[in-house]
Amino acid sequence: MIAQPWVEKYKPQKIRDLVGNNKAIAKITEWLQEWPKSISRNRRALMLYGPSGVGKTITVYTIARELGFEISEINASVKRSKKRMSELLRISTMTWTLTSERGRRVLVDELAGLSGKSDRGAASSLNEHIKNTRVPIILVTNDVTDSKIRPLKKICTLIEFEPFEPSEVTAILKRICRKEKLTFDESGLELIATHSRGDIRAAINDLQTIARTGTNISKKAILELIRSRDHTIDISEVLDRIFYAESWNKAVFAANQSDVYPDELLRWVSNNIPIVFTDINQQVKAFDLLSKASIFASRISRTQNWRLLPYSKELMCITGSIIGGTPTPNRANYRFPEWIRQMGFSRGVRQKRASIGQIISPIVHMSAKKAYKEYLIVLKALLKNPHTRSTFITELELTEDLIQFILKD
Amino acid sequence: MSEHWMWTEKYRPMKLDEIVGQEPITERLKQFLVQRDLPHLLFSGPAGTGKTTAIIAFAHELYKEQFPGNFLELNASDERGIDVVRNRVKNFARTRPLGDAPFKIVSLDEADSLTRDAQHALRRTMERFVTGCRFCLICNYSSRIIDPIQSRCAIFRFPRLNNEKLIERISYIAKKEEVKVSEEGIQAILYVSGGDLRRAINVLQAAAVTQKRVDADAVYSTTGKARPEDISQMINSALNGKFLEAQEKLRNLLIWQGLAGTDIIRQVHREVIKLGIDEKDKVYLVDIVGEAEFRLTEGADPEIQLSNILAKFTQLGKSSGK
Repeated sequence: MIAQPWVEKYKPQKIRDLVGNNKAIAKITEWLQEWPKSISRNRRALMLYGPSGVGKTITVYTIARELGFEISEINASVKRSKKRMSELLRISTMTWTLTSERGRRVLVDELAGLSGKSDRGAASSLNEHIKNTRVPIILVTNDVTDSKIRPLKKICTLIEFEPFEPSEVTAILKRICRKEKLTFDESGLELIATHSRGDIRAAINDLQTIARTGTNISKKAILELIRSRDHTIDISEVLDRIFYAESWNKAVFAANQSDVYPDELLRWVSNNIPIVFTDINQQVKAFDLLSKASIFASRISRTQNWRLLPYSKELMCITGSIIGGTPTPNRANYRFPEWIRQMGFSRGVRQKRASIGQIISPIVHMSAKKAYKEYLIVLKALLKNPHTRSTFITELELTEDLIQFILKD
Repeated sequence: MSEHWMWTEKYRPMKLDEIVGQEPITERLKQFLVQRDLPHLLFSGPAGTGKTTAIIAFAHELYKEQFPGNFLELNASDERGIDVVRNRVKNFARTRPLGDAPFKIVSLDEADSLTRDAQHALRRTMERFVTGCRFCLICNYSSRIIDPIQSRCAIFRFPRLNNEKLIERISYIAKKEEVKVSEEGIQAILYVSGGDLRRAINVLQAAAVTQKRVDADAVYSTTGKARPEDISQMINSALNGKFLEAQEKLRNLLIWQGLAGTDIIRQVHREVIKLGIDEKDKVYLVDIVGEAEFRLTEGADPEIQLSNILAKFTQLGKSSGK
């Protein structure tokens, strides 16, 4: 029942579908077409950089595919020890030499999450391979200032990607609305666009979040969503003072000073851990502590024993020193906790499930909650069958709203 | 009434003899029927084994046309708070049984969802009205019912139905509804329902509405987006190093599909056993999953406990270079 993410569903298929960053697109296309003639002696690979959600990776993929390249990808999910990197690069190059002249290949490496310990040597290995490569190599990164990337920058042609214009974002959102048969308020879509700060992925995700509650993208829902974003600014300060604290004691001091409700602070910290600490080993340590903080938080709310509060707050003070790592050098753009946001938006969905459950509960001798889950497939079937549909609806007194909900859920 | 729409209701047995697969229990209940006497009852067992059906059939046979005034059905997880239960029970139980009925019956479903305090209050209510009223508590796990209640009840444990009995009932309903079910279709229904007769009938009905011939494809397409796949997708995201993606899937299950944290954890556990990974890693994951379930029963937050599990899955996936 996991709906396909719209960022996937509506990703560009052809070069002509690509929006914005025209110069970058033209440069990459030319570079790939002309390869290997296009490479200069000193700068043998491409490095695309720019903030997240501006289409760096997707642009490479779209262009490469259209030009008939096969893509080998190395990304953060692969542990890049030096040995492993070399192996990957060797295999890719070998395959290229074995296949016919048409089977061209391009290597794409997302440099995000190139972490200190576990990826040690990866950058130097990449460096070597770029110098000797027989396949085009394109690197993609968010942050060109990262010290680990510096040596690579010298041997790459840099291409910048800029955030989308609000009007471009609005146009894309509008097209998706039409395809998904959603009604929308144009000024509302513009609001999403401006607030996305040019991050098309965030904008589309926001749109999909709102669409999950109904087919109308109302300005009211959008405002609610954006307000949740604004709230972020106040809490950002608290998070800064925790994650970037000089010592754990100072982090605790900051947490105690803030008047954010412990449950809420816990969600903020946990949602932003993966952004601030990119190494999985550090993330594991962080979540271990947070899961303990959560036990205390729940004991407080159950027993109203507020003397337990310090334990909960102290355990959620995740600093680099505690989990053995350094937070990302640039202070992060903190994300609003998805849980709080989605719970807010799903309220309507949950209410509808409950009211349908209450209708069928006495018929099927089960609690409303369980009844809905158990009988959803039967309700759907009865509504889809033209012979039963109309009498079924009248007898159960289902409103059009609930009918549509059942069919979609 | 609208019972005829759902086949589970249309074919819910109204006589103890029609109940399949629980003969030892229905035989005992029939003796109570002859004696026209009944202790308090505690029915426990997995979903879809006939617990609710048994007490309803018993009451129908005992009361006949006086059934409505003498039988009260409550659901502990719907009635808000034990006070509501107590008041409704009190109002029902304090008047004399209608007609020549020897006593009234209160059936309390999902009784294991009551807190311990609520169960103690219930125990007092049971004692107070014992002369004119019998209770039948229904639950999945009798261990969640406090001892003083257990000791006052005759306990009946409903075993999971075996395939033979499920096939017997499914074939009977299919024949009555003039639906043809292929051999593969039957096997598919058994697979997706896991011994739960109610689910088996629901799947049959959902599949039969689209076509009068039910084969395996029809069965799987009604339940095509079933939950086990969602769970394994989430686990695979984590094992492939995509922690954020795994978390996103987790939120989808918890928030939008409305699953309970403990249900997800149990399914994660089931999937872990099936994973093709090193045995030592498996034991490590079982330990983590078990700890998380324990914490959830302590009341901890499901998003954070499950994220903790997913982080460890991700770490394991990365370290084994998958």
